[in-house]
Amino acid sequence: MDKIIEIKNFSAYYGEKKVVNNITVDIYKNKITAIIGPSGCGKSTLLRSINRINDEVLGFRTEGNIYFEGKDIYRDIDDLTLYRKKVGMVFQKPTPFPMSIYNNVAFGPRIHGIKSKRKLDEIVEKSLKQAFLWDEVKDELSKSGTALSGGQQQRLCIARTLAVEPEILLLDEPTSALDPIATQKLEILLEKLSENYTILLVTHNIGQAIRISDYIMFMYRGDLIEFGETSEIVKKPKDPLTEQYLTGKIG
Amino acid sequence: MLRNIKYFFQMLLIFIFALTSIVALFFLIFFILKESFPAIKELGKEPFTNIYWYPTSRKPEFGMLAMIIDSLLLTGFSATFVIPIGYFISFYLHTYSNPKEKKYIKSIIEILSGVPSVIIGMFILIYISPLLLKLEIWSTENFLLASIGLMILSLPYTISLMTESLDSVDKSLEESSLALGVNKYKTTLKVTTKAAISGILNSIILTINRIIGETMVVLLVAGGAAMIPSSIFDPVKPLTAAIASEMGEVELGSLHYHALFLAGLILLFISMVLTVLSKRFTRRWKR
Repeated sequence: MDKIIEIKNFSAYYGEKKVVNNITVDIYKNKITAIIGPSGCGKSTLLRSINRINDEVLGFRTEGNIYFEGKDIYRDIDDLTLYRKKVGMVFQKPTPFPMSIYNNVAFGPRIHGIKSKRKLDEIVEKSLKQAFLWDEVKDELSKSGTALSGGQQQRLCIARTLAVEPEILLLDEPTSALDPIATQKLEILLEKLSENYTILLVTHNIGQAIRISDYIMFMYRGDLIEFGETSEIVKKPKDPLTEQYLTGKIG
Repeated sequence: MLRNIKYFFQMLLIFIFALTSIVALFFLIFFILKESFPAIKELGKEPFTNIYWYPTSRKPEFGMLAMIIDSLLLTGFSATFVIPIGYFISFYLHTYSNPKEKKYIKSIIEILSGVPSVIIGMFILIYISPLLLKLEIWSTENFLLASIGLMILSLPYTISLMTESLDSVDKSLEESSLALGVNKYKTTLKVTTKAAISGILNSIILTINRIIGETMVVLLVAGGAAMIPSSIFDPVKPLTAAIASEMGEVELGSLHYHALFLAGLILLFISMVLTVLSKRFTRRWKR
């Protein structure tokens, strides 16, 4: 199995506070890996370290290494924007830009230099189709992205991310603001997308992790307690903490 | 029972305070309308067609057109500089400055916005005006100096308002853009600014409103000649300066007195139109 990301002895701090503690783990290509754990266990921080979006946070610093395709992302990356383009990210709350659906999706490609209208049309159509949104919006591409429903907005955000052709998708609790039906749609979408993309998903929803992920990372107070194939972890967790979390005794 | 009484008195208090401000506004408008009415009746549309303002000459003329144009030109000219400069500075503060730097710059801006306008007028009169003489520009009070004063006065205001609008944009919206591999500059330019557009338009209108209503600086350094300027070194006299300089000496109840109230009415009207526009923008661009 191909590793796309290798995390080695990675720790992260906000100021003096250590929130991710010496984690070593591999992320496999074209699989869905779910990061679960109670609030404040560092799972979002770990996720946000992978595309270095936390660089913008004051007082944030890291130790150890994260390798993406063999390159240390905190040391060997020259062009951060180019790297971030390869690692797409979707946030907890849908964040459509205040512009039309079309421009939302075309925004990234345009910034990265694609000017031809025909090419952009193609990208927009392809990305929206990939995000299962095309059929719902194809007749109103000029409508504002913010006018869509929550679930549609979140899929628009995924389409927007796909438009810059990333290799990994980072999702930070993407369904926590959605209703059950929109959540189900998004889960089906993620499973479908994992055929071509590596997906790293932070979720509070244990059921969701079990339903769609291939691997589970269980984190607790900054430590990686357990990592393994989802079916194994669900069947017999090795660590008593994992079991307690999965059965709802801690959380 | 006691709670109900307390609640009643709280509400009563709030109601009285709210009513006081509404009544004050109502009286203000009523008073200005009432006092300017004789001028409207007497002068008809002369103030808007005639450029000569000679209210105290033997054959008085009450043309306010030149002063209205002066007000608008001064405002337009100053705003053309203040708004882009204000935007660039808030762009920098929002995008690049670290929190410490931002704190310092912001506190300096706050101090600057607290400087009384008469001090700014004096400063220009004493220190900048002589510079013009050195450059052989023989007018010590003119359009340019007034504009500079208005810019110094309104810039901190514009910066605070615009920075606030940019800062109020949801962080995750910017992060979404950064995560697409868009750099900070383009993120602020294309995403944040768009998301904050209602706030920014609002800041622009409030800035314009502030410039047009400013009195002290223009009274001190604009030159006080009610004429349409043909260069930026000509003296001008905006409406506010006319009211401030002449109200003290005017004969109570004379046509001149009422005409000054008409000038006030025009200012009030412009300011109200701007306020309504700003409300409109805020609502239209809210989403």
